[in-house]
Amino acid sequence: MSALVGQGVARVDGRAKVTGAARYAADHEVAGALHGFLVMSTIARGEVVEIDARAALAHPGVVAVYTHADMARLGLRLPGFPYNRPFIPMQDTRVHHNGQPVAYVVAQTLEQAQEAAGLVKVSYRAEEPVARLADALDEAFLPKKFREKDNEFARGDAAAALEQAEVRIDQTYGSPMQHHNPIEPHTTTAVWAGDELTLYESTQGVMFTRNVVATAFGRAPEQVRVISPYLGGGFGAKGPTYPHTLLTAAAARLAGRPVKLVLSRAQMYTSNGHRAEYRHHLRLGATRQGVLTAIADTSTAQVTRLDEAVYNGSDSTVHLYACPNVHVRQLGVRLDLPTSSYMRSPETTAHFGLETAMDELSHELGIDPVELRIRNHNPIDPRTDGPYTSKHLLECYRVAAEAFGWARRSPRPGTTRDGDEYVGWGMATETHTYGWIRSEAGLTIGPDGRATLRAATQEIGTGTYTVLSQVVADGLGMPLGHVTTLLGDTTYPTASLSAGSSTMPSVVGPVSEAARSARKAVIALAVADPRSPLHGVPAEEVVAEAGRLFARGDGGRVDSYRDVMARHGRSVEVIGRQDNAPGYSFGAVFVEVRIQPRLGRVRVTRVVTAHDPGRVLNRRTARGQVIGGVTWGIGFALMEHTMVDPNTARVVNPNLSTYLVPVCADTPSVEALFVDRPDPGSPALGARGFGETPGTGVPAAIGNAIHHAIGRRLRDVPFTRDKLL
Amino acid sequence: MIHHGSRFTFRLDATPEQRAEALESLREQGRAIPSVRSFFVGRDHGGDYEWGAVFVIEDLDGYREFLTHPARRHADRTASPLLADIVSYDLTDDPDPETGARIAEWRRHPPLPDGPVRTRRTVLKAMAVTAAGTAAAGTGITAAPAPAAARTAAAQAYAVAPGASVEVAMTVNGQLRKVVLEPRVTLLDALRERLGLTGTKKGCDRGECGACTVLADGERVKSCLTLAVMRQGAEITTVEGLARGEELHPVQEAFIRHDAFQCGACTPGQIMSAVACIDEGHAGSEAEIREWMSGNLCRCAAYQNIVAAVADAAKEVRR
Amino acid sequence: MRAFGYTVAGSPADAVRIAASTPGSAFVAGGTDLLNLMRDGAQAHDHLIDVNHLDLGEVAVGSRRLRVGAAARMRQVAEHPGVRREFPVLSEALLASASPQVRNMASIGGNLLQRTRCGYFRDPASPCNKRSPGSGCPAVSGHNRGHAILGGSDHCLATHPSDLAVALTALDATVHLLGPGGERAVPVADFYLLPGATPDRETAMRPGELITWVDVPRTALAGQSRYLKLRDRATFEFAVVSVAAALRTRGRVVQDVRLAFGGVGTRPWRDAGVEAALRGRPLTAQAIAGAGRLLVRGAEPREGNRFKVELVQRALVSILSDLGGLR
Repeated sequence: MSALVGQGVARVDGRAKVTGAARYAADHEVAGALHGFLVMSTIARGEVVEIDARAALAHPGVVAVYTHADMARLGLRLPGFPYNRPFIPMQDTRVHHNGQPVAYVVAQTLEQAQEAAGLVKVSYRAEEPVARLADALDEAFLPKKFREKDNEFARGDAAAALEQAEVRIDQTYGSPMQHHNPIEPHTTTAVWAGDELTLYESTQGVMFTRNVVATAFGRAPEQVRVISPYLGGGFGAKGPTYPHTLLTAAAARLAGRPVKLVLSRAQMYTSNGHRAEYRHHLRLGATRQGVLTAIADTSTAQVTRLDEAVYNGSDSTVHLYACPNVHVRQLGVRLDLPTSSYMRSPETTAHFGLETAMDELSHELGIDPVELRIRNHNPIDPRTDGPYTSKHLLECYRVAAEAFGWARRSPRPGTTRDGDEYVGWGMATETHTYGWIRSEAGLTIGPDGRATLRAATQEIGTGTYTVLSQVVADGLGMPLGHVTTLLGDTTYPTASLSAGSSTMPSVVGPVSEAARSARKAVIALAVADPRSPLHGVPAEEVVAEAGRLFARGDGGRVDSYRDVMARHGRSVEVIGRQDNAPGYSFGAVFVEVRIQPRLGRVRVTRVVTAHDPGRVLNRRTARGQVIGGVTWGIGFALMEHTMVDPNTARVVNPNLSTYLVPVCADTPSVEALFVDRPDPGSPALGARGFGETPGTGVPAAIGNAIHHAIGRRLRDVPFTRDKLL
Repeated sequence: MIHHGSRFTFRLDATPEQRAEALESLREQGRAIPSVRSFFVGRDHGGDYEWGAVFVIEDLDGYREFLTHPARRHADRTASPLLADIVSYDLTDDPDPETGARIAEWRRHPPLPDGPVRTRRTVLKAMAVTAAGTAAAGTGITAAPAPAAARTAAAQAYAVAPGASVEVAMTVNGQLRKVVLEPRVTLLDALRERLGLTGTKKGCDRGECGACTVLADGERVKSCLTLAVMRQGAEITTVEGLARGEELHPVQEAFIRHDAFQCGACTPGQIMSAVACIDEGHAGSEAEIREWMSGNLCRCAAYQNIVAAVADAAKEVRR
Repeated sequence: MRAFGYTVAGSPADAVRIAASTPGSAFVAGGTDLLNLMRDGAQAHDHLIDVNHLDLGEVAVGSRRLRVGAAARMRQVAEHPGVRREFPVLSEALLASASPQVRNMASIGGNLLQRTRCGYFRDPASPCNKRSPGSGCPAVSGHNRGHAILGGSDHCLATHPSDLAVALTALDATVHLLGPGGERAVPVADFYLLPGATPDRETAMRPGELITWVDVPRTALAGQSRYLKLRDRATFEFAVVSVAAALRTRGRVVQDVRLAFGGVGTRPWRDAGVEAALRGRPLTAQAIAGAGRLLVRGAEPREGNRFKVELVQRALVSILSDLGGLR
């Protein structure tokens, strides 16, 4: 049926992005906009005693300095989601973490605002903070349910099964605080017109932002418009709504002028969540044949004194392997740090432990790591307790192993050398839980016969413009060039947050439905119109292709969208709706590392992946998610690490020269393979949510490859030189 | 502060020796006249003229001294007959309109020397006081009302007091652009916030991500780490200036062809860096491209596609 | 960034004269570190004196020395054919530094005067004896993975980040200065100061002095030099540990050797005793290991940087083995 869906169609927004024409949130020129800049707390815990803004106010160009004393009072139900903080800053004198906004400077120019922010003198009454998980582990507790999810899960009797297991693995794994670091900093430009507010906002969810802001200001949602046609990277950092957005809207209200705020890179380390520091105690029990009999999974993550949101779930422990006895507990430890959040592929944190433990088990048993996973394959979907509508994970193992040459692997660690380097091969399963958010799509066929799609979802780099245009073009039978897709504006029909790999499963169904209805509507116009060559043809006999409409089996009777709509003289407008459900995607990743043990150097030299995302909607953008995810896995495994001073709970490396993310020279070329079969259970044209699946297994695969190369098992990321000497 | 400047072109028949002597006489003005705080004599990259000279003088007394000094008259006698074309101007950041009026008057009717001859030392002290006073006042730039002053900014050199602004002229994407700004404004913020060129992105604002990469006089630089005033007269190319009309630059084409971006925030910087990388001859192998493109972070991590695009574009550019 | 004035200097003498008469002034060439320091508030200046237009951009390889003007750019020096041929360690150290863009911008003088990347130093909200004398050093009990194991004091553990400075230290370079008191030359070995109780004093430069050029003796030894830089990502990062080495052997006997280390000392680290231990003896694994032990004999590692004691010795083995053809 389809010509375009599934093809590697080049990005429809490519030209805009390579010429600088694409307008990101901070690129909108707003007449008369003032510049805002935040003053951040320099203590982690305590009270603001006094704020002396006289010097700042006397500075040329400064319009106002707002503090807790005069900042607008904002109303939100706390704590919660999508507003990701258990408090609103500048409503009182309390300081909950280092780098919390305590004053807001507004000035004529950016330079004036920045300098004046440095002139605001804040005095505090400081209390001693706790900054490290290790310093408070004995205070770990089981947090309450967060977003409908319990932090404890049990099936069978894991403790008893462990007791009786023939083989046991009992280890602790760890990962540090990490930051998203999208290239585009968070930015808000707030423009009030009477009681109506427009925000040019860097957000992964215009609807979420709108609802939070409207609530905070006591406005109807329709009074707030949020615009975000392009997003310069989110990775979870721009999913929830954060204080700087509310404070900027408030400052613009108070100043009576539009205000533009761009967070500095350093401010991004305390303003928009992070991957929480995490310790993971895992115990596996198995038979000598490698059949899992028990998994006891206790993790401890940083939470705050005011909230207990756990963002790094042990989902894969629960569903990935067919183990009858599983006990998961996700504990929290209260530290004086900002609230953590979702960061690309949140379950990587827990999955790293599980997939490393599986490798340890395979080594212990002398069973090939792939074979061990096959023996424990789980065909049962935990959501239904019945078989998955489709799950091709076994084929992923086979396809990727074959492409990688896994069969040639010698099982003994430390046996492959090349010059002064040891070569190691490792693998892991990849999996991610994707979300679904009820969405709509508006489709207009104009009098010119061209289609315009509108949906209040976002383009965050994953290819939303492109894929949705493909779906529309196919659904209508129209050339891609006749389709315009408009996203990122709350005046469009409500649609999914671009997070949790939920965009495609949430939006493709409604868009496809809209295209189907619009095609039907146009065909109905044609067959009812005596001037149409198709007049009188039964509607179900009319086929649409490349913008033409023709009667099946009668090539002589041809009409076109252009002609039908020109005669009609008005637009056809439809709204598409289609519900779906959350689910899982799967894959396998195989990695080669080369290690120079003398200097502790690790290089990832080869990566092969195979994934089962259901139907691949666009091979090119899907591949982009794979190479991106793998690189994130490399960063997670080898370098990313936010350092918090143990005494002050202040981030020591809030930049991109000492918080390392992979550069071009760190990454090998990834061979990305797909088992491309539609999931019959998915109304999103057979596609599942996929974007965050790749990468989930990479840190474990790298650690497993390191073990294979030199026989040393590393359980704490990042695997830096010091751990390899 | 008063900036006295001129831009000029020698007559075709002026010999190299004559030209050298004339330039030397101009430099001698800077060295010999105590009230000249700093000066510059050099090639003019701004447009219509070959050479430029700027003398920074702290106040009206100094300006009078400058205009009446023997070194000035010597330079006049030596250089003037050799020039085919000259434009001169005066700029001041002194907010007092009287200053501008006096300058204009002196330009029409040169003053006579008077008062005691001051030593270099006292001039410099006076200088510091003037600069501090101007900072406190936080004044903007004031151009003297002489017709020449409106013509153009200095070729390359001038002094600006703290808090004051200055006009910077650059050729941006082939067009002469002028902007009045404080010395602390970076090239990046000048492009984005003053010239409306938002194609260049601010990622880290500290040289650690490369999103703000532009070409300055043909070389790739991070525009967040250089001040706009330091690029006076420079030729800047941003991502908006690469395509020729509808026809994209081969690197832009290759980026689309190879899907060498996702969110697009690093892309303008990647593309400008890639253009330079190829131009420098650092696109010879995959490994070389990876190393020489590593000054540009891509958090979406389209790296392997970027490498493919650069390699591909390099072939095309070389052809 | 605080507002500042700006003057373009016409000559080195002019620059020094303006600096002497302008309180709170600083010279700016590339600006690639200075602007960040000023943005962060780690440094503040009322006036910048632009020295980009001074006649100090020359890179010349003479029969007895290399002369590099302070305003020459990193790229210009790194790519100079004479430098690559006669002083490979300089070229390698420069190419291992920063990014291509920054190498196009940053000057040699500025490279030598860049400040430490210690996160506490760069954050005005943290105490730091270097930035704010007497306020304390959080690195001693905080994060010190990037810090020095040699030459530190309880007042400061910060390393100097310049790769070039390490290479120049190995080659006995001399830094030429022009100041209100005239010209003078300082051997690079004396140029950087140990922190002691005054970590705010980083170099031997006097107020108002400008680096004008750097001299490097041209020797047969310099022609056989290498730079090894170890870091946590493949490129575009400051050194975890680095070694600049020059080695000349006859047969297997070490005729002469120069060694300097980065990432381990509070200044580019040179230890004459280590070189003496190698000189005149056969270059063997044992000899190198012995020299390495000598190097770290006075090391005072902290919790986060203990590994550098071992890593720097291995780096020494690696570079000398390569240079001496031991493998």
